[in-house]
Amino acid sequence: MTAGGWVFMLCSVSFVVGLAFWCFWRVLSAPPHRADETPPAGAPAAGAGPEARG
Amino acid sequence: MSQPREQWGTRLGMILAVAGSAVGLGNFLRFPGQASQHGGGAFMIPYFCALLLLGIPIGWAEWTLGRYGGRRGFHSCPAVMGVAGRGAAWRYLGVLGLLVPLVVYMYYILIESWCLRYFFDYLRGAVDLGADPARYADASKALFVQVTGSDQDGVVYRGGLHESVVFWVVACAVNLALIYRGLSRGIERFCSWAMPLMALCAVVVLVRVLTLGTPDPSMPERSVLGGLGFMWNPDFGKLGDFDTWLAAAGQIFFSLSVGFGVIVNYASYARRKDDIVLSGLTASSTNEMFEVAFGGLITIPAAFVFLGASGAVGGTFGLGFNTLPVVFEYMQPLGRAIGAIWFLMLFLAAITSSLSMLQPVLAFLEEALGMPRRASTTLLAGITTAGSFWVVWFSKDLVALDTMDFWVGTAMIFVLATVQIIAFGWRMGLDAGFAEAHRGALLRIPAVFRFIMKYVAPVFLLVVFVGFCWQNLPSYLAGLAKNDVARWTMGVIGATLVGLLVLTRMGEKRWRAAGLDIDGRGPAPEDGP
Repeated sequence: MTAGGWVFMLCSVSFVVGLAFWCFWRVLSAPPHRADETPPAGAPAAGAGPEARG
Repeated sequence: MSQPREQWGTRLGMILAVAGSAVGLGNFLRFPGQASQHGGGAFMIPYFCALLLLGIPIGWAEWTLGRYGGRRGFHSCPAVMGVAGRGAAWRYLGVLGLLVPLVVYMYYILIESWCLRYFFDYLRGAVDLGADPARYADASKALFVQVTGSDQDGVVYRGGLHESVVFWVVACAVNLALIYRGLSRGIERFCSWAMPLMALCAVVVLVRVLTLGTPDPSMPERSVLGGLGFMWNPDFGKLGDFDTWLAAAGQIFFSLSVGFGVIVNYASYARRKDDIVLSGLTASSTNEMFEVAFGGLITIPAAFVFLGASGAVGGTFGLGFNTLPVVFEYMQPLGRAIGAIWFLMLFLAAITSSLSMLQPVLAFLEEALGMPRRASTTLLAGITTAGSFWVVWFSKDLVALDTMDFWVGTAMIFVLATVQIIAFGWRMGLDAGFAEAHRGALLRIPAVFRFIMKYVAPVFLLVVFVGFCWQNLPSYLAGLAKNDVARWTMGVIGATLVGLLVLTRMGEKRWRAAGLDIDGRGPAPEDGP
């Protein structure tokens, strides 16, 4: 294992692991979903065909 | 007003589902092979360039298109592309977002069942490559042929019910059962424990590999450090080779599951004002962590330690199903236990991906035909089982599998990704696209990505696609000319495409009859101030 190998391995692994942890930290520290959200007027039912609009 | 039938339960669940879709066998088996063959550590330079210029921007475009379609109540790729592209032509181009996951599922479920069988065989001690290390490689290849039936067509059904068929049926049944339970109760719940379990399995295998030391003192060069060096020592000379850049872009592209039609579908279930920018980046970075930190440190070093440089090269199937069983046989103590954990990890990686291939088609059947969940799941089960049966039956040299993988699982995703990035940057427009992406965003997309998503990514994609065709098309066209199964398989793909186009036409008529704005001419709900 050369010095260059160490540099590339440590930088690459640190970058992807650091990015993933930073992203998860941002996601988990964000306010949660608003559970009471309902579809706007005029929008068809999600995942449904026209009949589902009632 | 009906309530939406499907929605993600939590933001984290949605991210894990998308990350689960992206993390697959390629992370652990394809990436290390590509990196070690194309410059080792130096490969990471074009790799990260492709991640920034291709993978992340196209991912963001797909998330945005999907959420935009979802806000209008559409979840299938044709309907979403129809409203985002504002026209029927885009709707029919969006059919590729059904064809790709459907056809890929037909062969991917088979590979998934191999992982499941290897896992059970290791668990019950049924994998035994013999007492003579010199014959391990032959025994491992023989086991692979026995599992896959790759020595002749239809072999898995001769002489009674072949064991591999049982695992194939189980894998199909588990996928369909989870899909039937629905997005949140099925896919999200499963991925919420499968992804952490997969990470745990990877950590266990990684720790074992990094503590292997130098198993054979008579060959001191075969050590963990030697293996890491084989994988990571940079060869900067490879950076002048176009193939290296092509391989890096291709790896990023396939790894992140962009161009599959999956992200569009999954993002369409995001809430209207929920973040998609940070969620997209989190899913991508999770995939990268599995690929670089686990795939890059486990597979090649483990193979190198026991088999040397010649044993540490190979394609996805070669490394995963031929080489690694030999490695586990050498790896004492705990070699077979590590084998079981490894194949459990691969199975989890595969099933979180295969689930994501079913959901877009299921959403389409419900949306286009107005089918309830039970009927749409039954129809989907029939279609996918028939298609997968084709791959299982024509098992000789895995020709049917390889044909589907090349023409749909590889070439077609370039086309779909190109369609999607053009729909985002040129048809939907950057201003509208970025406004949609930033609706409720926890992170803003840097302004430089406006230029990247409009110009750089499409051109980069085109260059990679042309290079890919130049490298691969002649041999596959020659294969089509001389192999009946390959031609028939193309017929199956063609018939599937025609069927999806017909169903899209039927859906289009139903949507128009119901007065839905399927061409996206009017404002989307909550477009106003």
